[in-house]
Amino acid sequence: MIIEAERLCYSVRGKTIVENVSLSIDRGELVVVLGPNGAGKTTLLRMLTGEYKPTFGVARLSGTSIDTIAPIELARRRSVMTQASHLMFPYSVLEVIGFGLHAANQLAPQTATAVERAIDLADVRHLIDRNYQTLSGGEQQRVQFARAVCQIIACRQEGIDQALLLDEPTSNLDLKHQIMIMSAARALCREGVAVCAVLHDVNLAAACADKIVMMKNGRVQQSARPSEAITPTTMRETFDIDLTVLQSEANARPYIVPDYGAIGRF
Amino acid sequence: MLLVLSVVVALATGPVAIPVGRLLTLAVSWMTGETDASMARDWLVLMNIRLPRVLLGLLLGGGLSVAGAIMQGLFRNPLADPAIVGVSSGAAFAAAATIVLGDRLLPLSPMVMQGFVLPFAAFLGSLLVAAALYVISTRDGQTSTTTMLLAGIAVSALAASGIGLLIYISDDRQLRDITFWTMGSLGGANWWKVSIAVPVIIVLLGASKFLANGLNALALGEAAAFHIGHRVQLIKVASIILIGLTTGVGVAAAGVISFVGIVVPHLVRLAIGPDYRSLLPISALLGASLLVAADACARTIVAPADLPIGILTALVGAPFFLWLLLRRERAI
Repeated sequence: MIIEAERLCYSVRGKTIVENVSLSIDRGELVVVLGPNGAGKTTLLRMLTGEYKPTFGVARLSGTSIDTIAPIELARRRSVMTQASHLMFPYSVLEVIGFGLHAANQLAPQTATAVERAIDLADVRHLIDRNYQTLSGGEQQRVQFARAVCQIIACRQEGIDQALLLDEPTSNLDLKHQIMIMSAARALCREGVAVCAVLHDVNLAAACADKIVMMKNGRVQQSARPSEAITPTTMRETFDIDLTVLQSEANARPYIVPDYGAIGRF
Repeated sequence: MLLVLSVVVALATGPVAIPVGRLLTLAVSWMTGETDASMARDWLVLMNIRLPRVLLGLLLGGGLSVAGAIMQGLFRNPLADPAIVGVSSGAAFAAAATIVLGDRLLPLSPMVMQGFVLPFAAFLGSLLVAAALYVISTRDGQTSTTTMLLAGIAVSALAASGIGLLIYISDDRQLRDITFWTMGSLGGANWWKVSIAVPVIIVLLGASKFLANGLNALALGEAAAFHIGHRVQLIKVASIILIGLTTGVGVAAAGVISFVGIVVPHLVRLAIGPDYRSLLPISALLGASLLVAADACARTIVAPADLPIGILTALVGAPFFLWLLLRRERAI
């Protein structure tokens, strides 16, 4: 297992945000965390990145407790994309992507190609000379994705497992780029990276995930393959909403049709 | 280039004019060992008054600019500056407290007091304010501009009232000294001050080389800097100490010189971009040249009197700061 969480709890000022969450992500696996607002998804992800120390329980990366790994070593083994961040200084897009090279061995052969490949995977080639501050929210998000991908490719080493953690990577993206970003994540999976993504779009999650972890009120409701995780019953339990679940003819995965007729009735 | 030019001009100008050609003659005569009476006078002016003043200007101009740039990186805010947010006021208060209360509390000679205790107290004052400001204005790794500027106002007011209190209980000599600290002037430059400033500025420039990558990454936020592999806590603590050290020594040597730390890095960002790896060294050079040039102006425009440089930098810097503020407002 690359990512392993064992009975993680996180509380702040007496309020429990994440309670007793265990999960594991293997090489080449893509796990999506779903759940309503305030379910504790981001907090869980932050414990997996090493940013938050769990109040109880332990998060491991390839068997080693994350607390005990130095930041630079951690950066070689896992890369993180957080929710939208804007900059106060006028860095160019290329400079921002290049920040991801800090932990990489500058002499390694893949360092030079890492930036190029990240630019292509995130579809930001036409933006590289632009001032990051002047980009739209979606474009900034793609640049942040490119930075995280650049880090993971540049730091790749024989025999070292890597993980990519994404916090709502598609929240500001248009449809085309939502699909592009998730297929880029899948491509990295095929190269052995373990991917953990927090998403809000249930259909996108169903289409790309190997496993879906449903969270509510800080707990894991269930953890299963998309076809089992997404049913009218489970959606009712987790999201408190009635909807129809169909099956896609293209990939035999479930997709949901929310009851939009409810607009006006709430 | 600009640096060399401003040094030469600054050496040449002043109440006792020494033309540029004369500087060369002096340098030659120093090397050959031949002197006459008028040369000896010029030599005296040059070595004891003008050269230490220019050197101190170089050191503080460079130092304050780099400290400003580091502070802007740490606070992720282009409006941060040690003098604007009260760090210098903290140092000035500590300096004033040393002047007024020092000889009552510590049985030391005035030499030791002025030479060691005062710079150290100024350092502690500025360090304390810088750290407090950071704690106050940063929540969850995000720094609020509003909180930072407001906290800076509060700290400045507190320091001003403290200095007011000290003025109230001070005698005439102490009063003159305090006025000097709060106004900011390179007029009191001597070799001793230069020799204190040199190691501090060397440490600052040396450390800034290692901080540059980290400050770049901090622009993405503390969490992202950590994800990329930086030791965020170390960068923050080192930055605060460097800001405190430089501002403290600056205030101890020349009083409060404001706005250099905000104007210079901003100009450099406009010219070559925000990358800290080049921003810090270029800011040091530009800041050194500008402060020396400004000091040369300050000495000449009201000659033979000597306008405190702090007044001049504030005169130029304050409108610049307002312009920055307005431009940002429009951008949002």
